[in-house]
Amino acid sequence: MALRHTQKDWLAAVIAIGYLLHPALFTMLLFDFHPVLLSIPFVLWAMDAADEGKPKVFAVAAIFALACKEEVSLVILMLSAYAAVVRKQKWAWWGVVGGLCWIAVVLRLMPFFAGVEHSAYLALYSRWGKTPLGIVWGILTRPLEALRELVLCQGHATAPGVYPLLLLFPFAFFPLLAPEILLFGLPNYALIALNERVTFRELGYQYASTILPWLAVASVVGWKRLLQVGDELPKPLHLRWQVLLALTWCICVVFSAYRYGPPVVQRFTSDMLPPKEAKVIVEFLNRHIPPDASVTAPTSLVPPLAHRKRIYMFPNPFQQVAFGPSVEALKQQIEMRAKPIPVDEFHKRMREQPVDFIVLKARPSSYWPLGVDAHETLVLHTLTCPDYGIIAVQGDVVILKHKADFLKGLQLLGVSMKRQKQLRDEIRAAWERLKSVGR
Amino acid sequence: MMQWDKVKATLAILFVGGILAGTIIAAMRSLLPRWTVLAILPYSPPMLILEGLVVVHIAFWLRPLTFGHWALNGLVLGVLAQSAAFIPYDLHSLLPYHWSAMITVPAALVGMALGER
Repeated sequence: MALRHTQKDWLAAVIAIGYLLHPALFTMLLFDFHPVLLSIPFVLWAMDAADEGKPKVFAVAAIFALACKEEVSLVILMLSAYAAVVRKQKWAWWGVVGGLCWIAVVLRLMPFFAGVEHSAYLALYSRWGKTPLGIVWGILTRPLEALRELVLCQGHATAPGVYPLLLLFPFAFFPLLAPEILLFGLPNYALIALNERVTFRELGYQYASTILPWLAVASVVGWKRLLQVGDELPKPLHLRWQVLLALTWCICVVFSAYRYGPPVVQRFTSDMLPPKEAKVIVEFLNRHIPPDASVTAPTSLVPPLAHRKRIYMFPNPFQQVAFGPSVEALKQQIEMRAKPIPVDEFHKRMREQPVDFIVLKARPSSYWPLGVDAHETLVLHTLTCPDYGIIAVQGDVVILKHKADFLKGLQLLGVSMKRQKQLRDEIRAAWERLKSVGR
Repeated sequence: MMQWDKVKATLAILFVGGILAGTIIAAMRSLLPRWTVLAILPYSPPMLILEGLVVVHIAFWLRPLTFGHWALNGLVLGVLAQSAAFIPYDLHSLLPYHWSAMITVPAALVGMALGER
C-alpha cells in the first residue's frame, strides 16, 4: 500500500520499517496467546483490498479477520463504512451490513458458548451502558465526558493523555494528516480509551492491535499528502523536502523505539525466569509429572506444563479465581482482590475436585491472579491437606501428588511430626525457609 | 487558488519542521541528563541554548521551502516546535511544561531571518 501511494521503493520500505518498529508491537507476542493478534494481517489485507477496490479479496480477508475476535467486527464494520463513504465503493455497504450483523451475532454467540448470561466483554463498558446500543447511547449523550476520556485516558501507570501520544508519536504524528481515516478508526480507539480496565491503555499489550493498522494506513496517506506538497516547490528544492520528511520520520521511529521499546520489553520479561533456572525447573517438573496428568501451578510455571488436557492456574480449580468467561472472572482479573476461602472448604474442594498434581513455588515471579497474602494463605491450605502428599522438592519448587503419603511428604519439607497440633505453624515455617533456598 | 496552495504547502512544511524540531528537543531532554550525568537538565540554560540552536538551524534550512513573510513563518515554526511538550518523556509521563521552552519562537525567527535572501 505504501508503494502504491508513494511510488518510491525506498520510501515504502522506510514506512514499513517504521510500522514494524512501533514500540506497541514489540511485546504483543510475548504476553500469553491472544487471538486478536491473528487478526492484524487479515485486517491489513482487508485495508489493502479496500484501498484497491477489490471486493472479493476484501470479503475473504474480512471473514478471516472476523473469525479472530469479537472486537475485530468493529474494525471490519468501520473499514467497510470508510470504503463506502470516503472511497465511494458501493460494494462496501455489504461489509457494513455484514459487520453489523456479525456484531449482533457474536455478542450472543460468545455468552452462549461460554455458558454465561451476559457477555463479559460488554461488562468492560458498564460505565456507559449495559447493552451495545446502551453503550453507544451512553457515549453520545455524554459527549464531553467521552471526549475527555478519549484524549486524557489514563493507564495503570501511564499518566492521563500520554497513551494516545505514545500511539501517534512513533508515526511522527503523520496520521493526523489523514483525519478521515482516523475518524473511522475512532470507534476502535474508543474501545481502548473508554474501557474500565486500565491495562488496556498501557503500551505493549495486545489491545492496541486493532488501532495500529488504522494508524499505519493513515500514516501512508499522510506521507502521500506530504509528498504532494513538494509539487508546489521549485524543482531544486524537491530533494530537500523529501530529506526533511524522511529525516523527521526516521528520527521519530528511532527515538521512540529506543526510548519506549526497552521499558516495554522489560515490563513483559521481568517476571520471566532466567533461562538456566527455567531449564532446571522444567526438567524437574517433567521428571515427576506425566504428560497426561492434570496439574495446577503458579502462572509462571503454567506454560511449560500447558501441553495437557487439564491445566489450571493456582488456586484453580479449588478456588475459582479469574476462571472462565464470566463477568465475575473479569472483575477478579481487574481488581485482584480475591479473598481465600476457609481452610475446611478448600480441603473439601481439593477432595471433591482433585487434580493429579499441584506445583507450588515459594518465590513465584508473579502471584497473579492472587494478591501476595491470599496466595500465601492458600498455599498453606494446600500444604495442610492430607489428601495430597509432597513427592519432590527442588530449590523453592514443590510438587504434590493426589493420594501420595502426606506425612512422608512433610518430611521432605523438613517438618517435624512431633507436634501435630501446631502442624500449620510448622508448615508455615518450612515454607518460609524454602523462600531463602538458593538465594 | 495558487496562493492558497502555497499557504497549505508552507503550513505542511512548518508542521513537519516543527515535529522534527520537537522530536530532537524531546530526545535531548530525555537523553542528555543521563549522558551528561545530570550536568544538563531539561529547562536548564545549556539545554535551552541547545534547543534554540536546533530550531535556528531547522528554520534556516526550511526558509527556502516556505512561502510568505519570514517573521510569520518563524512564529508558526517556533510554536509548532512546542510539539516537544507532547512527546512523552518516558513510557508513562510527559515532562511538566515550563515557559522557558518558548525559546523556540525567537530561535525560529532568527533562523528564518538568517535564511531570508
